[in-house]
Amino acid sequence: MSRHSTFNRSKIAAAVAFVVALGLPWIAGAEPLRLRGDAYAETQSPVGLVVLHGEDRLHPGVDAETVTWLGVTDSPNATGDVLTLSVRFRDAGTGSELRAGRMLVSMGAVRPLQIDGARGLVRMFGGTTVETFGGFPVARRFDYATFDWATGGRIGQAVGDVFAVGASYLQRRSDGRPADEEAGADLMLTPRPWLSAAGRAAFDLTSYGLTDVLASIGVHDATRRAELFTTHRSPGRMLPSTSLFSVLGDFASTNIGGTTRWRAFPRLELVATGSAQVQASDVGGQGLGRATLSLDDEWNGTVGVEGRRVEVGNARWTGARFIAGVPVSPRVRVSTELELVVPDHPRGRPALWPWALGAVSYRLGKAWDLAAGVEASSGPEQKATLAGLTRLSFAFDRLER
Amino acid sequence: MTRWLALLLLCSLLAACAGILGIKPRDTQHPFEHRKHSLAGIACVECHAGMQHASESGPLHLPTTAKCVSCHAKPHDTHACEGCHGSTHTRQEVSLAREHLRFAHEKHLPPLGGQCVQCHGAAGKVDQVSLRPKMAECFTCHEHKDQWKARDCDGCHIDLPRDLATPSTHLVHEGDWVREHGVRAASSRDLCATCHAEAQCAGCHGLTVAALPWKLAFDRPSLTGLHRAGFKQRHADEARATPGLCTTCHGDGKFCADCHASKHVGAGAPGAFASPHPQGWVRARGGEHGREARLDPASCASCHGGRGEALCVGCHSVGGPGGNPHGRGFASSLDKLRNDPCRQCHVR
Repeated sequence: MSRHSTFNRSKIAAAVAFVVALGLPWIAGAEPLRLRGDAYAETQSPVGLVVLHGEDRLHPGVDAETVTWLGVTDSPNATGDVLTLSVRFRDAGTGSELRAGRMLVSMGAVRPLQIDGARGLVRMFGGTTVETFGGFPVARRFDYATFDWATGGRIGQAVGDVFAVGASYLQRRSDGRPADEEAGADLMLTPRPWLSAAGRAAFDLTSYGLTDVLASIGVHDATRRAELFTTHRSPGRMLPSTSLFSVLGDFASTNIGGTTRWRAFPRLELVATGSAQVQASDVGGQGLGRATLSLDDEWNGTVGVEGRRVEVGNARWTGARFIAGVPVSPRVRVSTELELVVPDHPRGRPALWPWALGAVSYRLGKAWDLAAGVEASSGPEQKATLAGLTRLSFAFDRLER
Repeated sequence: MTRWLALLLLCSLLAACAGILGIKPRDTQHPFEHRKHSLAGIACVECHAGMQHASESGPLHLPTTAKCVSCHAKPHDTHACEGCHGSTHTRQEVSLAREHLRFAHEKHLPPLGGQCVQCHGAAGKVDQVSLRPKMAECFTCHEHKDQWKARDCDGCHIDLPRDLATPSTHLVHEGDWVREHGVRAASSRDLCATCHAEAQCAGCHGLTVAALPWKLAFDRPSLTGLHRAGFKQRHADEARATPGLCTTCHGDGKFCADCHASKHVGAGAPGAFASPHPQGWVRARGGEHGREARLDPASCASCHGGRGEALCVGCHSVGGPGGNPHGRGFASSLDKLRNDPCRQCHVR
């Protein structure tokens, strides 16, 4: 199959699925149909987002959804893309399902993939799940090659809500040659309502070694939450194994840290997080503290302040951020955001990188929403930029019928 | 005198703080006096008329001022009663429940003998924060084990998969959830899918995302998320601080160079041939570039990926002056004579 024919195949598949997505709910006399459109314009790169979700209350086993970006850029051939466009068939009795179309496949510990293909999930024996997928990995700007394909799956076992464990596998081929092959394991534990833990690890089967390990344990009550986490990531193995840079051998990066959240008062929330990072002989760390004060009991209006310090390798900087969002009437809301970053070593760049945003939004009835803002910044690449932002949103399902 | 003034000032300050921090609500509205009415022997359905026949759709059966004045013949002012008696928040809850729950009072009231407080226990309290029963309350009678196993929430919930949907009772999305969600979702993706549509994952993790969906919510600065605020101007330093993390989404190696070229910024821009590397980057005995490449190979690949790899192969091919670039203990399942990228150096 030629590159050109693959491109056409993708377009035809996308068009067919789009027609199905649009038509399916109406064919079934469907209710509800959820449609949301967001047109977002920035002085630099206008884009639009269309979100459509259709389902039928009479036949709840079938639903369809799509998210489509439409954009205007300098490049003549990059004016839009379909992120997801899929139809799902579901058996409500068992929870088994089949999804076909363009989708994001994320199974257990192996890396997520965006594919044009199909994914199936079968539940059996009270807690066992078997998932599998196959298809063609989505390529940017339709840069498909012949015999690009991916397949994989996960088998999992859950014991009530307390324990779940799974093993997963992924293989991706580019032009018929191996690009990624990974195996992974994942675990989730909730032994008490206030205690939960989760972990996952992916192993690279191409250049043998751990790709990515994450683990987290958290405790919480109504007003407080604390979590300890660790990550171990091999940056070379994150690259496709068709890249020359994946065979250099790398220094894995290991992070250990914690985060806490405390609702100190009904309208005051405090968050603190910090971590230490080790990579080769480099030791560093980063920390963040945030305080958010609500201006009403429903947390519709808030003001907040945040401080951050990063000191890892060559990246050393201190940042502060201030936010405020206030509803001035049931329909109108004003908000502002200010960020200041001070790099330790400017290396020819400005000594202060400020960024600011001011916005106002207005709700027109239940379905329409309009927002406008101005963004200004000065950073390492450009001395000063000023951008206007507008957003017009329409939510079909919020229309009064 | 000064001491009394200071004390007065302190009391005022504490009172102001109590209001600001939400310890003392400033709202002029207060919860409806359900308890008082109940103790006076007034049945719930006398005010919420028709509730015993209420199905999944139809009116909300909230009493109007006309209903109140049918007993309170001489109201203390001319305003609508619901303006002060009962909070807007409670009424919004009722409205949201009608929109997003399949629930019929007509099926629940007869078996409970018309006793509303069995579910709406908060109505009997003086300080009612919320009158809507929590999901745990439903589970005291309904077990729903089979539905939970099959992740079938549609039996009761309508339109759960929505952007920014956050559960109120049975799951916690707090703290640094953006960082934490990946490890949680690994083993519980199907649980996530009960509330979150496919679109929500693809909105950030899709390969060709033109702008993260939160970018559209620029008027909601309190939302957390990746790439917030001035991320664009500090992205190079963010990438250095988390080696490999960017590659989990921007994995094809050409993302950085393409973006820089299209925006006419930096080393990848057309006509910008200046090297971003410091002096001594590549020397006869290696220089810094080898170590830096091992620390963050994705950053090298972001400019030198694809056809740019020829630059490396020029020195590091088998027998070349650059020597063996593989790290200690390197092993691979690839066939060095047939597979990319091995054959670039091993087949001459």
